[in-house]
This record gives sequence, C-alpha cells and structure tokens, in this order.
Amino acid sequence: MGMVVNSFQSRENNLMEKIHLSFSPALSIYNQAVLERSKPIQLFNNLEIDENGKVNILFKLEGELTGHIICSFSIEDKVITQDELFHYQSIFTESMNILLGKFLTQLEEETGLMSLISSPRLLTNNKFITEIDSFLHAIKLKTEYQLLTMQNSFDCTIYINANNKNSSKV
Amino acid sequence: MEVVDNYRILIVDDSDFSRSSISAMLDDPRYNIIGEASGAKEAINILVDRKAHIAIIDIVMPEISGIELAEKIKESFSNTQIIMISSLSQENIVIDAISVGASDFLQKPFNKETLINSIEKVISNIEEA
Repeated sequence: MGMVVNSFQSRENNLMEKIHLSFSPALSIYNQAVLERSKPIQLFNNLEIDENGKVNILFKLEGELTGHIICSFSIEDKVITQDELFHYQSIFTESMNILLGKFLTQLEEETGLMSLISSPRLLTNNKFITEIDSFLHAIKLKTEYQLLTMQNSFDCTIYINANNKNSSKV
Repeated sequence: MEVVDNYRILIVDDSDFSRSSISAMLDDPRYNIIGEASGAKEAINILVDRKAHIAIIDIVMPEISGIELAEKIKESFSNTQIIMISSLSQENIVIDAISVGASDFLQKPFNKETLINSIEKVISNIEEA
C-alpha cells in the first residue's frame, strides 16, 4: 500500500515539475509586450480571486487534461482610461492565449498529454469562479507573470484547475 | 497566372490585438489588407464583397473554428490561399490545418520576418500556378 501511495505522489510531483518546465520563463508578444515569469508553479487550495481591480479570463481545457484555466490580471492602483483598459485587456488576453498554447504544446512533448484550450471568455462576475472552485480537481496549480508594455506593467496570475484523464502517462 | 502589383489579404482572428499586430507587420505597398474579421461569418461577408488572394486565419475562435472556416473558404473561394495561425502547434493541429488545404501554418507569436516569408512562399505558389 505504501508503494502505491509513493508511486502516486511521485507521478503527481513529476507532472508538477513537467508543468513548471513547460511554461516559458519569458515571451515577447509581437514585439509590443513581454511576459516574464515572476513566481514558479505552486499548489493552491482555493481560487481566492477578487473581482475588484482584476480582469479575469477563462479558458476551458480539453483533452487528456480537462478543466479550466483562469488568468487574472491586476489593474489595481493603475490610473488608466476605459479605452486604455480595453487595449490592455486585449493585449493580456492574447498574451495568455499565446502563453497557454505554447505551454500545452510543450507539455505534450514533455509528457505525451495532449490537451487544447478554448477561445478565451471574459468573466464578468465571480459566480463562475466560485462554481469552478467547487469542482473536484486533482491538479490545482498557479503561477505568476508580469506583463510589461511600453507604458505599464501588470501582475498576472494563472490558475490551472484540472484533472488528468491519463495518469499512466506521467 | 498573372503577376499582380499587390496582394489582397484578409486577417481573421478573434483578438483585436492579434489582428492589429499582424496588420502592422504587413504595412507595405505589396500587401493590401482588404479587411479584418473577428470571426467566420464576418470573414465570409468580406470575401463575398472583396476577393482575397490570401486569408490569414486563427484556428481557435468562438462559434466557428478557423478549421471550419478554411473548409468553407476552399468550397466557395477556391482561389483564396490560406495561412493558418495558432498558439497551439501539436501535430494533430498542424495536420488538421494541412488537411483543410492550408498553404502554411505559423505558431504564435511569430515575427514580421516569419510572416513575410510565409506570405511570399504562398505568393510564389500563386504566381507559378
């Protein structure tokens, strides 16, 4: 029994390491913005995402990893107009799309786990976030990045809530 | 096939930022951006009105995917060449793109040189046909 538990823990740790390795440490986004990792992959228990001062984007995760990825972008303490907010939101959304696409492509090379993301959806209230938090997900990992543009920098957090349908691959 | 002075290009991507970035990379008299569409229906409406030599199409889009759009374009606008783009580049994604007749596939993010090389490759195919 001890050996089965250790084997499970070892596979989960291995997957976490592969997930960390599959996230690019830095990315240039069409020479107009840069994403830089500010914190490595960590476990989390609950999605404590405040809707105040945050823009939250949802991607569905489908394939051998299934679940949701929530990308949260902080505009707290930023003095920006509504037009600027739409502009930065668009840069953030596409940056996350690119980061996650490269992540899943690299993850498949590392682990053989094949997964895709949906097109992004803007979350306008926390109700859906609360719902996702209530699902049973074996994988609850987060990482943090800084999105740097010419004029501003923003803290971004990526929350992965997923289950691995093919745990024998890792 | 007749060589033309400039090539008519349609950009299809649900991201405003992606469309404007791609459009900025193609700021050259050789390329004429005839329209930018945020989805498949808008893309088809543009093509009905203004024919394109090349359509640059994002694969993952809401409602109708880039792959489905490419199939529709091949059926109704067979002279329009397609370059598919995506942040994902797993083998099955690239195979899907090729199977619907895309002339090239680019993983995002790509730089100007990569995009221009791809477009010029497609243009040389058009001119040789």
